[in-house]
Amino acid sequence: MSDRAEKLLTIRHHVSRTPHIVLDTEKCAACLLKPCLYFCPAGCFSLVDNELKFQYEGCLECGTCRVMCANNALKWDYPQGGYGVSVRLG
Amino acid sequence: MTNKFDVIVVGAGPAGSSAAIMAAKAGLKVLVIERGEYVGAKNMTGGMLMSQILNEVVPEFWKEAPLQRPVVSQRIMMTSGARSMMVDIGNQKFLEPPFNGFSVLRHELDAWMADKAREAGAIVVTGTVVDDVIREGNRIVGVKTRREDGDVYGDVVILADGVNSLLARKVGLKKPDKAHDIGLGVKELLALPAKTINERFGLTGNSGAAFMAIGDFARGIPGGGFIYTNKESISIGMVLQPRALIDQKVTADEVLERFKAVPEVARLIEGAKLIEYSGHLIPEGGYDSMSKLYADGIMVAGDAAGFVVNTGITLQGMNLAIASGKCAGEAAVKACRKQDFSVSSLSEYETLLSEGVALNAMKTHRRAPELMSSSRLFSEYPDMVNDLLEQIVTIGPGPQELAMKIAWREMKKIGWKNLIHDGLTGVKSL
Repeated sequence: MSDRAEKLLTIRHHVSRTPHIVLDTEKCAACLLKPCLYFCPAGCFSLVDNELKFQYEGCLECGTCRVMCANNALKWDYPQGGYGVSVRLG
Repeated sequence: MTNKFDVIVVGAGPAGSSAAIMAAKAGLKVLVIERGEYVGAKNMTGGMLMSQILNEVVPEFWKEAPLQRPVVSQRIMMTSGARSMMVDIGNQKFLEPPFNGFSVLRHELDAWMADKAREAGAIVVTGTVVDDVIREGNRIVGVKTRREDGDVYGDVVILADGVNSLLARKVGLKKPDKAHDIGLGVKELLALPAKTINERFGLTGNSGAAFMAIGDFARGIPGGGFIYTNKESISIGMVLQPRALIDQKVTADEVLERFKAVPEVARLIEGAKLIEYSGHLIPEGGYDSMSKLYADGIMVAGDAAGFVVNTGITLQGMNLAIASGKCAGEAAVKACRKQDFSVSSLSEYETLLSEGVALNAMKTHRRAPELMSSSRLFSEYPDMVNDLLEQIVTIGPGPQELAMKIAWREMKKIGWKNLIHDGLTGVKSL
């Protein structure tokens, strides 16, 4: 198992059915740099067949993408109350 | 339950709970609204809880608060290739009341602080997002929660909803974010038996150590590493500039792995079991990036306002959160006594802040963000220090040189202009 996968498995999530971050995939397709592949500490952004995929389920709600997304291609909100990441120790 | 309160606090972190404790102790009707499944669910730390600050909110908190270890040894490490140097600032007095600082885990600490607010009479609800404020004219008179019939009214609203505070932005108190104003913190908690921790870190009993490390393990990315000893675990992490991660096409967790691989670090954590990974943003922009602190019917405290100082040697977030939250709570009490919630009445918040540590720390270290964004600080200076020390502790076949002469040559490598600039920035920011 990769270092990253091992890390991500230790995080507790209470996944909401509705995503709290929504991407404008057209903007993502036009984005050449794709900085999200590097700035997200949970690896929620990935390239699959050259297409950007986003998985909100593993999100740490840190907000890095809210600030760093170069194209303003995402709508960032908090998950529904009680959902999302639940840090056990912190 | 009636839906009108004296004070509504958004966020049950250290800032929110401190505000709630002060307001509820004075007899106000206080509601704290937390979006996490439980208090502390969204929080983590790479810092030290400073004793004198929390003591002002909960006197002699160390008798009952869930703390990890009192820190008696603060170590500053600089690495460069195979070389490293470390300064250990030790003080055994920090092992006794009133202590100096503690390593902490946030879930247990935040939950305890919220319980203190409850004990003082505040109502703390969890699992509830606040989506907006309620206005009457220019004045904020309550909040809209993401629940059915979720409007709640309060004479004063205190925003303590953390670094991403969508409310402070929506209300217009916080300016748009800038990439260079944020640091990304990533951390691992690694389990180790207390005995092993004490042996490896040279500690006895429940005494603790804290590390701040800079050097080439970050491969030129502005940022540093930290290590804290807890009772039976180690907190190890890094604070990094997201912009530099993008430039270097590397992720924060990969840089953290490089820090963990530094030989001096690797032997401290060898065989330790990963029990939790976490990440969080840090508002590192300093005084000039702060939000407006108050408006009609509203105040902002803690990370939401930008109360963080990072000097590279110390990182103050929780402590300034507690200090600012306390002032907001006290200002709310004064406003309620006067029944005046206007911007001029709430300017008392800034007056109280000016008398305390939080705002002064922000102003004193106003230039620190500039220093922190210098890649020289994180790569060239650790190189220079280690080059110098290496030449002092080794002996070659050629003629010997005085340490001063070696130092002179090393400083020349950085360039006098850079040295003078960084030196002045350093003097003005630390």
